[in-house]
Amino acid sequence: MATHLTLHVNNAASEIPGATAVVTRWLAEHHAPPAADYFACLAIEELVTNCIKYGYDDARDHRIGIELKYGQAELTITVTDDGHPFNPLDRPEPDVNLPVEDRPIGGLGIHLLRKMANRIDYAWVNGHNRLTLHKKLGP
Amino acid sequence: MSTLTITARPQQNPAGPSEVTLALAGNLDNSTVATFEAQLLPVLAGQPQQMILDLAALHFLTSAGIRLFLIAAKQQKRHGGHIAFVNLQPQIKEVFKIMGSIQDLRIFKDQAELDAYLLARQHTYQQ
Repeated sequence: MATHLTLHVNNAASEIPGATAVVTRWLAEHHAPPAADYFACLAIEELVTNCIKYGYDDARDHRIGIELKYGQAELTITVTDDGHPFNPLDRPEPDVNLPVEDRPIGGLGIHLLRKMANRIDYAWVNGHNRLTLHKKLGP
Repeated sequence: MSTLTITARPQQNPAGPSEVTLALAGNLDNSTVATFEAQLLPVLAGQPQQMILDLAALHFLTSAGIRLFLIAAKQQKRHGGHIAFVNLQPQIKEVFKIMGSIQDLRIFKDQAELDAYLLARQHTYQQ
């Protein structure tokens, strides 16, 4: 049996701490391991921030949907937004073996999530970007 | 609420090469990164020989924080200085592993391991 949580934030950085606090509390109530909380909060932080920075050309409010599913030792997070069509999986992965002076400072957030997740799916559905991250959890 | 506290610690050996330790406590994310940058950049401008970041009380690190760590490492390397990260919590350690560049973002298990490394490097310079 999996349990679900749905929340929305506006495209404002100030809304991120509130959302991660709700998620942390919810995961604690369901006795999820620390890795689940870290991954969920990181995903919200990185994806919502990217959305705010790059997703929109107008100055209007936009709602970003966050759904979590937790159960059977797996956490699934889906982030949905109505910004420009953008699949972060299209971007090349940064070369982490370059010496530090040659490392470009960019694309790190998505890279982190790609490495921490077991699977990521992207879809453009009804004018929305939908990114789903799956993470298997240990005890 | 996301908070970050930064504490500067005095140099252990005043007679040795210039060294600065900053201890971070709390979360290093988009809402706190400006706070860290404001303290970090002046320290880097002083071009210390050794920069130490003690992460014992750092619970959460995002790409915004890693970006600053990489900038610090680049700046240190440019003037022949070093940077070391010590006392990483397990989740933070995993993030560092993913980021790679292990040679330049040197991680130490604890202060004792860092001290041994610094001592060995000093002896190398003296020979």
